[in-house]
Amino acid sequence: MIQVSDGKIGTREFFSILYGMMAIRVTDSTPNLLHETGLTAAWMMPLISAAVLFVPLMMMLSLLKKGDTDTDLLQLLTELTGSILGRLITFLIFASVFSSTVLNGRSYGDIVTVMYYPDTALLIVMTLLLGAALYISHRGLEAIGRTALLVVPVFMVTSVILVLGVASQLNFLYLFPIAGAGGWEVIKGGVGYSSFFADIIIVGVLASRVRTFEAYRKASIWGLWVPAFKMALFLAVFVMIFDYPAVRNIAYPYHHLTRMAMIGSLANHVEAFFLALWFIGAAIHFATYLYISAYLLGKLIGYPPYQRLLLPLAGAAVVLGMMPENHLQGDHLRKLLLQSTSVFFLLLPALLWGLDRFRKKGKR
Amino acid sequence: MRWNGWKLGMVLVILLLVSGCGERRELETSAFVSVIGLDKAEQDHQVKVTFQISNPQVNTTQSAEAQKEPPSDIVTITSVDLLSAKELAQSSLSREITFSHLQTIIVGEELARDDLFKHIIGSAIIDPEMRRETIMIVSKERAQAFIHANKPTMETRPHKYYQFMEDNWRKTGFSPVSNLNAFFQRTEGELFLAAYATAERDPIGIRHDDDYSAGEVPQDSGDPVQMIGSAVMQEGKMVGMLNGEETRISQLLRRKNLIETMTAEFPDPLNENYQISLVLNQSSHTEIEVDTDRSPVKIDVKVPLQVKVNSNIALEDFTASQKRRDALREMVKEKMEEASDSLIKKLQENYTGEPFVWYATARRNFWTVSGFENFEWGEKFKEADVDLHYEVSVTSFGEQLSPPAFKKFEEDK
Amino acid sequence: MSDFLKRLFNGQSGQPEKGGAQGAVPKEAFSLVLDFNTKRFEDLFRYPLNSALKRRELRIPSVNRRAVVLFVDGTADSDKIAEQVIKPLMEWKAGRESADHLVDELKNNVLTISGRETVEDLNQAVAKLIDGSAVLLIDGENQAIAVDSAGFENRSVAEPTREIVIKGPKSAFVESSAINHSLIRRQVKDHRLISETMTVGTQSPQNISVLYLSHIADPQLVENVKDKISQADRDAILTLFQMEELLEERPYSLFPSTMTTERPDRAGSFLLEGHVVLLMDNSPDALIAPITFWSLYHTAEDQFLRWAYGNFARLIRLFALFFSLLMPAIYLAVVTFHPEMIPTDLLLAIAASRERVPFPTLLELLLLELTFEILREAGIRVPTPLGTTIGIVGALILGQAAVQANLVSPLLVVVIAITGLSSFAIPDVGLSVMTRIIRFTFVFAAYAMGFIGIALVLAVLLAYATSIKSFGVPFFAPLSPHMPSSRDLLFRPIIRKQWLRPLSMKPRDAIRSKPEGGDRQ
Repeated sequence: MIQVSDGKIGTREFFSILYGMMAIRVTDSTPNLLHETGLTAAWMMPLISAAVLFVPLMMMLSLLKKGDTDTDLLQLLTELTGSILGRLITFLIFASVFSSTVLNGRSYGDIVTVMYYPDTALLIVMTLLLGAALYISHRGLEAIGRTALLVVPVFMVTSVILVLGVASQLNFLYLFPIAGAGGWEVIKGGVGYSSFFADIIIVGVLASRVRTFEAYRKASIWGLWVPAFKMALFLAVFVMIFDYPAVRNIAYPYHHLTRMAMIGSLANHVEAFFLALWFIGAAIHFATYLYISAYLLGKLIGYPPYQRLLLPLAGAAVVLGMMPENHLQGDHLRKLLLQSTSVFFLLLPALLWGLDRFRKKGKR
Repeated sequence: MRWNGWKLGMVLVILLLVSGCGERRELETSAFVSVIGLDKAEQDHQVKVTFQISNPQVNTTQSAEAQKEPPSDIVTITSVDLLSAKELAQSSLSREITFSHLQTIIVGEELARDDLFKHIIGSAIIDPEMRRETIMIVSKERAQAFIHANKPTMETRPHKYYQFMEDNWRKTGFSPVSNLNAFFQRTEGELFLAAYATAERDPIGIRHDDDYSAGEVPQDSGDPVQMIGSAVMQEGKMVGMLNGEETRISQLLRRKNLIETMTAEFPDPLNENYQISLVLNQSSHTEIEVDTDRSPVKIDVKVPLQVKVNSNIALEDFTASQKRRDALREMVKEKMEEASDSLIKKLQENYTGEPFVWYATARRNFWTVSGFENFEWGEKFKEADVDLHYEVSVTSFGEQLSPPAFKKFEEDK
Repeated sequence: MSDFLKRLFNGQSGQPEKGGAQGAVPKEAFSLVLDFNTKRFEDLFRYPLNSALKRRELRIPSVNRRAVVLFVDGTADSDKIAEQVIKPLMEWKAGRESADHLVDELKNNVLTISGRETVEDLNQAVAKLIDGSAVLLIDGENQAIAVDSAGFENRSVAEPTREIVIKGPKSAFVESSAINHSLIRRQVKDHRLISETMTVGTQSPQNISVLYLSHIADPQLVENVKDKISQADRDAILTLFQMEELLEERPYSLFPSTMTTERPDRAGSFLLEGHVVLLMDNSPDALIAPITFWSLYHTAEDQFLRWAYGNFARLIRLFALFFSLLMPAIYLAVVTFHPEMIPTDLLLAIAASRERVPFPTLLELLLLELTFEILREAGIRVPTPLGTTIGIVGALILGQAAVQANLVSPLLVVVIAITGLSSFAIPDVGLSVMTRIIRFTFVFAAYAMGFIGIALVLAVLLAYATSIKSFGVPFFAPLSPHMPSSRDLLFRPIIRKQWLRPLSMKPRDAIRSKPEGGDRQ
C-alpha cells in the first residue's frame, strides 16, 4: 500500500523541481554568457557542461546508494569529512545557493523592468516575486513538487510551440562556423559554466526526501539532461533567428524570441502570454531555492524548524538583490559566482568518493 | 504566527493596490503610432521624426464613429533621436504615444544615405517598445512628404494599408520583405535590401516588364504611392538601388526564397513580335555551394524554377510539340541566367558584399568564427566566380488545351 | 508525450496490492444447524456492524421447527414478506408426511408468493439476497428457500435538478434515507456494501448512515470519517449539509473537501472507487468524502457518452473553468498593460468605444460583474414564473442600456457574458462558486501588475490547491502527486482501460478487472 502523505516526493515531482530549477535559465541572462564565450557554438556548451557534471553526479549517486534510504548529501558530508569540515562545506553550499537566489532574483526583476514594465519600481517586482516564492516554499517541499509537476508539462509544451512559432524565420546556416570560438574555447567554456547545472549536485541535500533511491536516481539523470537539451535547443534557436553577431547584443534573447513568435497568422503578439508562464516558472524556481537555502541554514545553525527561516531569508534576498546598481553589475557578479562554484561542485563529489574509498581501505 | 501572516499579506496587498504600477494605462489615453517616418533635419545630428497616429474613432466601430475626423493624425518633430522626439511630441499631443502597434518605419532616402542613420536606428532598437519585426521602407522623397501624400482609398486606416502591402510583397517579389531583425543581422558588411517606395510619379516610358523602380511604373490615377524595387543598405547605410527585376532575382538566388509566386514577361520563343507572361514559383530551395579554398572563390548556384503558362499573347500553341516546349524552357533559362549574371556583375562592381545570404553558406566551410571574420567575405565576393544555373520545368499550360484558333483564320485569309 | 513521460517515470508504479481478507462468497453447502447457517450469513454481511441484513426468527408451529427469514433492507419489500411468507408459515397445518419433505412441501404448497426456488449453497443464497429475495432457513434442513420479494423502494423518486444528464439514469435521491439506501443498493449489488448507522445531535438525535465497500475502502479512511462524525458535538444537526461543514477540515477555505451528489449512480461509482458515502434523512443528497479536484470536474455523463463525446465535453468544461477564473482578469491585463496583444483593428475599436466611458476599466468591469452576480442571485430567489423574465430583462435590456448610456463598453459586456456562461458550465456548485470568488482576486491582481500579477496569483493558488488534503487525499491526486491510476483525470480513457482504481484513495483492492479483458477477479 502506498503511503499518500508521508512528506516525501516521487520521481515525477522531483524531476519537475529539477526542471524548474534549471530549465528556466534559458530565459535569463545565461544565454548571453554562453553566447559571449561560445559564439555560434554556444549550443554545445550546455551539453558539455551536463556531460562533465554527469561524472560527479554518478559518484554521488553511488555514495547515496550505499547508505540506507534516508542518506542525503549532508549526512555523507558529516560522516566522511567530519563535523567541522562538513559544516564548512555545508556553509559553502548554502552560500552558493543563497547568493544565486539573490543574484537571480535581481536578474529576473531586471528582465521585467527592462523588457515589460519600464515604469515599475524594481523593488515592487522583486518583493512580489519573492513573496510568491515565499508562500509556495512555506507550503513545503511536497507543495513545490506538486505545483511544479502541474506546470512543467505546460512549460514543455509551450517551449515546443514557441520554437514552432518562430520556425519559419529560422535559418540553420547561421549555426556555422560550427566550432564558434574554437573547439578548445567551447570545451573550456562548457566546463567553466558547468555550475549552471550544479543544482543537480546541490539537491543531494534533499535525497532523503525522495521516496526511493531509484526514484532519486532516475529523476536526477533525466533532470540533468532534459534541461541541458532544452538549453542547447534554445541557444541554437537564438543564433538561428538573430544571427551572429547580432545575438551577442540582445540582452534577453528569450524575451525577444517570444516577441517574434507567431501562432499562426492570428495571434502574432503573444509575449504577454509567455511572460505569465515564465513568471509562474520563476516563482517555483525561487521557491525551490528559498526552501533549499532555509533547509541548509537550519542544518547549519542547528535549528530544526527551518521553515521559520524562510521569511528572513526572502527578506534578505530582496534587500541584497537591490544593492547592485544595474543588471550589468549583477551579471558580472553572477559570472564570478558561476565560475568559482563550478570547480567546487565538480570536485565535491569526487572528494567524498575518494574519502569513502580511503575509509574502506582503512577498514580492511 | 498564522494571523500575523494574514495581516502582513493584507497590508502588502493594500500597499500594492495603492501604489500600483506605473505601467497601467487606459486604452483611450494612448496614442497608437502605426507608422514612423525618419528624415534628416536641416541641422547636423538632428532628425525629423514623423508619427502617424491612428484615430480610433474613424472606421472602427459604429457606436463611436466620428464622421468628420481624419483617419490619422500626423505629427513631425525635430529632435536628436526617436526617444526624445517621442517625448517632445507630447507637447502637442494630448494622448501618450506608444509604439506597441508600430508596424512600419519609413526612412527618407536622404537620411538613409547619411552616416547618421545607423546611429538613429541603432539607438532606437534599445527601446524595448520597438519590435524587431517592424518593416523598414526607404522612400525616395522625404518620409514626411511620403506619409502625407499616402492616402489610399481602400484602406483608410494606415496600419491596414501597410499590412496588406507587405502581404503583397510575398506574392509579387517586387519588394523584399525587410524587417528590422534582418537589418540587424547584416551589420558587418553584408548587403541588406529594404523596400523602396515613393509617392512621386516619374514616368520614364514603357519598359520591359518589371524593369521599373518606384515611381516609374506607368500608372494613371489611384494612390500615388508605388512600392517596387529595393534600397541596398550596407553597414547601416544606403549605398545603392535595385529595380523591380533585380529585386526579384535577388530573392530567387537566396537559399530560402521568400516569394510564393511571381509573374514575369519573356519574349515569346516562337514569335519575336510578342511577349509571353509566365507564372514562376519554386518547388524546392535554391542550392548553393561555396568553395572558399579556391582563389578566386567559386560559388555554384542551382535555382529550380517552375513555370506556368497562364497567358499567351502570341497565341502560339505550345501543346502541339515537345520541341516548342523545349524552346520555351530554353528561353526562360537563358533570359533568367542572363539577368542574374548581370545583377551579380553589378553587385560585384559596385559593392563589397551580397544580399543573397550566401555568406551563411560560406560560413559552413570555416571551423571558427574568427576564421571566417579574417577571410573577409565581402572582398572575396567581389572577385568570386559565380556559376549560375537555372533548372526550369514547365508544369502547366493553363486551362485551355490549346490557344483559341483565331490565328488559323488569319493564315487562311 | 504522455507515453514518453510515462515510460520515463514508470519506476514508482509498483504492483498494486491485491484485495483484502474478504474475497468473494465461498461456494459452500448449508449445514443442518440453523444457528450455524445464520451465523455465516451474519459474518458475510458483517452483522451487526452492517445494519443492512434484516432477520426475522420464527417457529413454524405445525412442525415445531425454528426458522429464520433473512432479507436485505432496502432491496426487499417487507410487507410482501410478512403477508406472503411469514403469515402462511404461521397458519399452515401440516400433514403427517410433510415433515419428510419439508422444504419441497413449504416451497410448493405453503408459500403463496409467486417466485420461489430452493438454493443449495451460500453463494447462491447471497446472490439472491442482494437481488431482493428473502431467504428462508429452517432448522435441520441443509437447503434454503429463496422467495422473490424484490421491492426496491422506488416510489416518488424525482429527476435530478442539479446534475442533469441527457443520456443516463434519471433518478435522484429524495428526502427519505430508506429510499436513498435502496437507490444505492440498486446500483451496487454487493454484499460487502456496508451501511453503518451512527447518531448525531445530542438533543435531537438523527441517524446518519456511513456507506462503503468493505473490500475496497481504506479502513483508516472509514475510521477517520466515523471519528469526525462522532466528534460533531451539536445539539441538533438537521441536514447533511450542516454535517458537511462539520466534517470539513478547513471551514474557511474556498476549496471544498467534501461534495454532495443527488445521483445514486454517481454515489455508486464513488463507492466503487473506495470513497465513503454518507446518507441522512431529510437530505436529498449523498455526501461524498474524500474528494479530489477530479470529483468536482467530472460529471456522471462523461462515462455514459462515448469516449470522444465525453472527452469533448470535458475539454469544453476545462476551457469554461479557465474562462470563468481568468477571463475578466486577462481582459483587464491586456487592455491596461499589454495592448500590443490585441489585433490593431480590435484595439482601435475598443479604444474608440472606451472614449466616452467615464470610468476606468477596473470600475467598469467590477460594475458589470457585480450586476451579473446580482442577476444570478435574483434568478434563484424570484418565483419560478418570473425567473426567465428576469434573465431576459437583465441580460438583454440592462446590457444594451448600459452600453447606450456609455456606462460600459460593448466588448466588456461580451467578456462578462462569456465568463458568466462559463461559470454555468462548471458542473459542481462548490467549484463554480469558488471560481466566481477567486475571479475577483485575479481581477485585482491584474489591476495591480497585469500578467505578472495573474501569474503570481495563479502560482500561489496552485501551490495552495496542491498542498491541501481531503481526509488525507491530496486535492490533485493522482495527477500531482503522481500515483498509479487509470488516468481518468482531465480526459478519460476508454472503459476497458479503466482497470485500476486510483491508488491515491489507498484502495484495499486496486484492480477493477484484468488489464486486458479476460477473467474477472
